[in-house]
Amino acid sequence: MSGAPVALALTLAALGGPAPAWANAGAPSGLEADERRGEHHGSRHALALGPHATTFFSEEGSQYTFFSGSVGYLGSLGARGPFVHVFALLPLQARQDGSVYATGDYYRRRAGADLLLGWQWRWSVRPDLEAEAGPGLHATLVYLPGKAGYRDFSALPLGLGAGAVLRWRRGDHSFSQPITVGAYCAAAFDLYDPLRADDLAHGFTLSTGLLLGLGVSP
Amino acid sequence: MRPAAGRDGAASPSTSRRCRAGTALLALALGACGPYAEVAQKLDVTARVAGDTWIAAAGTEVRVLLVGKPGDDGSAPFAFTALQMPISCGTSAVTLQGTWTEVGSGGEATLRVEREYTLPDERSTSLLSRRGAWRADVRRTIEATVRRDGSRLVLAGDAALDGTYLAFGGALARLGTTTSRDAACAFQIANLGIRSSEVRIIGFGGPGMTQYQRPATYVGTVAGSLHVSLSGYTHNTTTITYSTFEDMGGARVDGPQITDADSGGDGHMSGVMTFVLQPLSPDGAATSPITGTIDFGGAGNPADAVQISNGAATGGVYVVSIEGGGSARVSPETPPSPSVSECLALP
Repeated sequence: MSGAPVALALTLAALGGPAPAWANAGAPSGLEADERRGEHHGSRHALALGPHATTFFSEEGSQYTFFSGSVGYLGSLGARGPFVHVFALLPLQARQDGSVYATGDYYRRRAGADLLLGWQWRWSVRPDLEAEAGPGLHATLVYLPGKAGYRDFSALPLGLGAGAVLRWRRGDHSFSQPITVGAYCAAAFDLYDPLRADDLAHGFTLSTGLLLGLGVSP
Repeated sequence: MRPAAGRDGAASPSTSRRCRAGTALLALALGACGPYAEVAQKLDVTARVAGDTWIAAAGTEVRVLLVGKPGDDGSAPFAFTALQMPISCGTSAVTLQGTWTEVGSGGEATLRVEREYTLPDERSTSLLSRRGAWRADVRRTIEATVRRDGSRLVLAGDAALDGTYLAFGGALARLGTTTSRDAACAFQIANLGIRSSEVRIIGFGGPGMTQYQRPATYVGTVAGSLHVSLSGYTHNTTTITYSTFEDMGGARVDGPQITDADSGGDGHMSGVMTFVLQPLSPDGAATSPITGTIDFGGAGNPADAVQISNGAATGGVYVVSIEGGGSARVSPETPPSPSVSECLALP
């Protein structure tokens, strides 16, 4: 088992989720460790890749939009339990009030992050296709320090969101665990930015993409 | 002149204060606080204006108009700054930049405003909510009539710009050099050029000054430049260094203006700037310049340094000395005495 899933297990356990059985000594390994199809009690870990978009309106009437590439981690515990979606963002394009800017032309560093932390439910769409969805708390950070002679930009919209994941268990294994492929999507409504005083009116964030993950037995 | 940056230090329960301090530290680390910045905004877009400088007063507001030489198409660059000076350190200010076109002999003029800068009076606003100076790219036209009468220019058509302006160089000839009043006047005039520069420093007066952890340069409207930099997070030092800087033709400043403030927005200023005021005789010839210094640090007595509380100048004095002439101690928080209007005998 790799270090990242262990770290997630500790994080989720701290949030109140059941400790995954594979964290215990003597857990079964290999193909025997697979959940039977149609059961959803294990933990799920996946790497994800996809586009990310966030748009928000300022109290002063401007609309800001950022399109980013994102790579991240999706994790969840149990048939009902906590989940986390955490992404690193690379803002590629920024828009303000109809004007479009390639961020690389104006900002010396382009960074961001997106976090969705909540509670999920799993169910079977087909015997080999598992769905997971649930609501959560959301945060997006955009941090764009300007090139010489240009102004910095930063934002931290916070709000409520929901995420969904579809996993297809193909039957392959890695690290003695079943490999899944799938897709995810998430949406959020943002309404507060602690870094920008009272200037955030409201905003929306959408993300989607593909995932490659491990399903871990209970 | 106001302190370059501050921190909100309003009294609050200790827990709330710690939370706010934590948020502030994160915000400052990210160059945040205040409203959202413009995307891809260039810091300095000032177009030089090589031409005439005019000055007028409307109550406590001082109006400075620069009109350049017309190009082949008849349009000239212009810059207009309105400075609210109810107290010596000034409060709010607005600057317009664009093109000025006079058509025919009737004095009709069209002012096309392309950029508008605003430095709001935010002394009563908490730091995390302050915006500081900002610039908006605008497209608006002002129709006005212009009448020139010797050393006067009468502008009418827009209440924000209207007035009877005097040629700045000629008005400077009314300044003396020997008395304390003369020194106070020299400060009030030199300070106009400093204040007008601050309007164009994006974020000036607010926490957006953290932008200048990476220093930036702004050019003077007439000549020279200034260099602005900031160091530190919880206790920071903002340094604005002027180099042969002229925002008004005939008033040049050099040297550093330094503001040290802690996380509560409390601190003091230091640095010694020099000024050169160049009066012109009625025939336009330069006469003896008025040179001197403005010491923000109390001129050797730290207790007299300009004091900063909650990000605003609240005490101390500007120590002003005219070379070979008078000197004065000017309080930043009291009405100018004498005022710019009185110093230059503005109509």
